Amino acid sequence: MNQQQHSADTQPIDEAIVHQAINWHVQIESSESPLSTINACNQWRAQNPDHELAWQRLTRINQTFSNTPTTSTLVKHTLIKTDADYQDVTRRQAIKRVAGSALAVGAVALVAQRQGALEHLQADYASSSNARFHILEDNSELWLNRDSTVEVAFSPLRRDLALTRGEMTLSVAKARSPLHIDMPFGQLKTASSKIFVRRTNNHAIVQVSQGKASLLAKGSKHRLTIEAGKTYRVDAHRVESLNSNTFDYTSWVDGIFSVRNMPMKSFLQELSRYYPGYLKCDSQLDNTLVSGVYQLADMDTILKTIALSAGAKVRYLTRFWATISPN
Amino acid sequence: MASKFDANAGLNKLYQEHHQWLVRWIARRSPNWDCAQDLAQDTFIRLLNRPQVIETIQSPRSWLAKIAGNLLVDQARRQLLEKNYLAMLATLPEAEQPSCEEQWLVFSLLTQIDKLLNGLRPIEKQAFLMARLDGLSYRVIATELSVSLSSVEKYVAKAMLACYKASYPQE
Repeated sequence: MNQQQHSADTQPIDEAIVHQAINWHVQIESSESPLSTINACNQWRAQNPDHELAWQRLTRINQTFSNTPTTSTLVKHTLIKTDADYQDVTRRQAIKRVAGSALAVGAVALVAQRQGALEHLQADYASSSNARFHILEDNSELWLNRDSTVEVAFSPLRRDLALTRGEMTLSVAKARSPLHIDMPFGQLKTASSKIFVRRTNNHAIVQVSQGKASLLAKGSKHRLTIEAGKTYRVDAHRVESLNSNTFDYTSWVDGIFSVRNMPMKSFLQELSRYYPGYLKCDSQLDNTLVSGVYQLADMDTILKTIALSAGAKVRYLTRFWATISPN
Repeated sequence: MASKFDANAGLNKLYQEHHQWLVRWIARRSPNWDCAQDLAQDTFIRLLNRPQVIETIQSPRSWLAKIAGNLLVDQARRQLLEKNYLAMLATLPEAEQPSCEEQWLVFSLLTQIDKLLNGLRPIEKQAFLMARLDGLSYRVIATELSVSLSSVEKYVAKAMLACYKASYPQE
């Protein structure tokens, strides 16, 4: 932007002069009684037109920063955080030794999307902003929800699949060997089934809709059989059965979002997987029960309908930030 | 006139021979397909603005890949910035929320500053922003960051040089 602003002013200045001008700026700012420094600086500026030009250019750049409105803390924190995130990617790249700058570029792009660089880099199947459908080499059918990744290792003797990020629904084809699914806090084994798995940093959710699967939770010696229609939540400490009547975990496969009597707060949490920003409700509405079947593609209508049914309204603070609050 | 015509012909040839390849190159590295088309287009537009370069290019694909790579990094960094900005906004109490227009102004300022300070070490950035945005004296900054006064001077000077170079690039 500065380039455009000063496009008329493109005359090159000797770098040594720029350094001197910077030095004067810094000396004046650093000193607690700068009067004599200012006088000396004025003399230097008058010596040569290039001195004055360098000085003016730096003054103009400084003004960029003084234009910052009252939110200077916000600006500063955002810049520093972005920097730290960026360093983080670069560092993780170095550790993993993913060779080549081109890959690093891709990784940065992905992390910008949602901090999932390594999962995406190593994935055999990945989705970004939309759900995707794949047929695997054993003819199993894989639906990946948005921002999800899977690694696959199939051989004639063994079928291994790992959900490394996000959510999937897998229709497992019958084959000579059972299919193993790696997920956080446990492993699933199934011969043939339709199965949903979600992973987050601190838990996993498994739902079997056809056939059955067995779950070996980490640290446990016994396999738990999961029958069709059952949903379980697995974390580092326990395996618990979930009531799967309030939320249909797999309806995204059909582009639909389906809930029954779900508290609004949890509803918005689920919905925010599909919203590229922030969804919130007023805390008074946290426990208001929400029901309905919605088209995922039309986020605005979902929010509007939900708000209407709760006697509330949607307010958009930005395109990426909606709040539902009482009328 | 003749040279401009040659340059256009050169660009046409470059486009025909390498455009599809470039789209695929970007798509392998970028989170979605639409953006690969757009970025490939942007890459060629860069060239359009510098016709004198076209004839001197020895290996067009690595040259195109280098420009496209820079564009990808810029774009990614901007997205990261936007995400962090929205997250920061979300932490503000409602009464302090800037209006939509203000939010937009602040965001364009953020991208501008981020570009100016590109490549500096975190502590250099921190010191410079404390001086420019918070208006703190060098002595206070030195205490806050537990460094010497002369270090603060060095950091600010380095940041100013980065700003200068970003604003007045010398070919």
